[in-house]
Amino acid sequence: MDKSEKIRPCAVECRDLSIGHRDGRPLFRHLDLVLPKGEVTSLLGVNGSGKSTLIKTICGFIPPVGGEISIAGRRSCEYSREEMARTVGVVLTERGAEGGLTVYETVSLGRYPYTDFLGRMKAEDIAAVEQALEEVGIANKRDCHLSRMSDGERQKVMIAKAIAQNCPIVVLDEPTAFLDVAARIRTMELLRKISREGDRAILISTHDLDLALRMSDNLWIMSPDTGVIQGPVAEVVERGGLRYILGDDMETGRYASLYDTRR
Amino acid sequence: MRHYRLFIPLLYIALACVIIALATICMTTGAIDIPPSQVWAALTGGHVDNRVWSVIVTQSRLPQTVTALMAGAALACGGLLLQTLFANPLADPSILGVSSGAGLGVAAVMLASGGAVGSLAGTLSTVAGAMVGAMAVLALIIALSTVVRSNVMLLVVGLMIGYMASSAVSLFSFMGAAESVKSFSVWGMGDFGGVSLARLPYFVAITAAGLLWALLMMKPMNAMLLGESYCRNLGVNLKKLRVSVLLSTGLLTAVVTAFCGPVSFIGLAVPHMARLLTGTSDHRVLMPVVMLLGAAVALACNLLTTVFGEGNLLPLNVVTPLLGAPVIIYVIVNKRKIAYFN
Repeated sequence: MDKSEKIRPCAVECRDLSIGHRDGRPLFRHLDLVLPKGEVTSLLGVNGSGKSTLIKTICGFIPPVGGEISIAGRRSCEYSREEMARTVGVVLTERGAEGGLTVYETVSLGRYPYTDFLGRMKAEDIAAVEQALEEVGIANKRDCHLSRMSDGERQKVMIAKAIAQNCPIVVLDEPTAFLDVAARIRTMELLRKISREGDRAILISTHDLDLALRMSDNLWIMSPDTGVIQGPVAEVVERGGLRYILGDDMETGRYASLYDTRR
Repeated sequence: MRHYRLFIPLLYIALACVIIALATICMTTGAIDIPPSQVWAALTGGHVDNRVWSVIVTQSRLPQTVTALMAGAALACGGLLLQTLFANPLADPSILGVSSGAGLGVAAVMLASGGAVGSLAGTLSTVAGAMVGAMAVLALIIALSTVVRSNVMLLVVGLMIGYMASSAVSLFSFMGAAESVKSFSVWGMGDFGGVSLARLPYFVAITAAGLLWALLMMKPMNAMLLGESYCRNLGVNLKKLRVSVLLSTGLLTAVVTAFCGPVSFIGLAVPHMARLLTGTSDHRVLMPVVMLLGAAVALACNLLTTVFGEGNLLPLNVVTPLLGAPVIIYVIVNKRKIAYFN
């Protein structure tokens, strides 16, 4: 184990966090989580294990039931709406009515928290959008309507939006879900690249175990019994964390060892 | 965005020219044709050869033209706001039952007061009635939108609410005095000519306030296009935005409905025409174009009501569907080719 990885500055730190919807019982209690800067962390878990609740809580869409989240060294409840928009950027599977916007217009929306009430772009805003387009590699399609793009390209546009938002933390909900194999690998490569280049903390929720093992730095595995198992990929695999997504029974349990030997 | 730089200003200029041309035709033609120079003289207080011309221009044609202009802009803008809010290209104040709600409010006021809407107090209470009715329907739809997630189903719910309001209106008419029922059914056909010169400033002030309000929401409406979660992540106060859209659309719809009757199809069709024309959903470009185009379309509809001569004016709601419905059919047939659908 590389010691330096452990003391990397963290972007998000959850202490004694309980999550869940306000009306019901908390889904998880006493979570202590660390999201490191400059690295890609994959959040894995079976359906209904509370992945999206955790993600929504970290993004500030729903309040924590208990405990606290510290983002970039400050408690999340101290953030104003605008500060939060400049700190945590999201890429979701949700589709709106953005088909009539061009790539440039969509990425420009990432500058929303920085522009005046008419949304006028200053030189620095334009520069940030241009850089985001370059970083993701869709600058040549800037005038394309989103409706004319493939799912993979749309994903890239939304990632560029999050980069233009200039957030040190980017959270992606199943970014590879609708993509073919090549597009999945390209998306993960892109996320690795932007995590390194901007020292950004990237959190991905995914069902794609293979890609998560090969291309992310850390794993968060949600299991209803033991909470969240976290750490660098190799360490989590060594500790048998994969059991919680593959299951314990003979049929699927065998595959856990399969992934063990691969690393 | 860069290729808009020349096109959009040219579009604004072209639309302004069309509006001026249509307004000129509205002011000069009718039962009596008045030369443009004489119309100008009458408006600016210069010497007019015929005193009757001066009265016609200032008392009848000026209020009607200005009303059509403002009402068209207001209805089109209300349609755009609702289409973005519900992420549904078929949303519109008349389809969602907002106009019917306003109609119910107006019916209640008119029939209760025995059709006395001539006075200023009568007018203001009519506007208030329309406002209450429109808001009630919008609030109901917003509340139901948290339960009914499907936008198509929500439209159907809106239609049903509209039917219920219409049925209540029919009941009122059935029980009302013949005099007030007549004035209400004339109101129901739609007319830009119902605003007198004395009441015109009120109408213009309220619609202008609503339009300005809408213009101030251009930026968050753009974020809204991405969907609610993205919108929230960009720092938008969603609850406040929803209420703001609700109130401004309610105001625009209610004031137009109270003064001009339930005018159909302008709110539904004009945003589509504007999107097809500009090729974008960006509200900073779209919203001013929608307002200008709405004004132009309303003026054109107003002109078309006079095709059989000033003596037999067509009801406005005979003309607007003829202009609006083909646009919607075109848009639906060409759904796959049109960029703003997905």
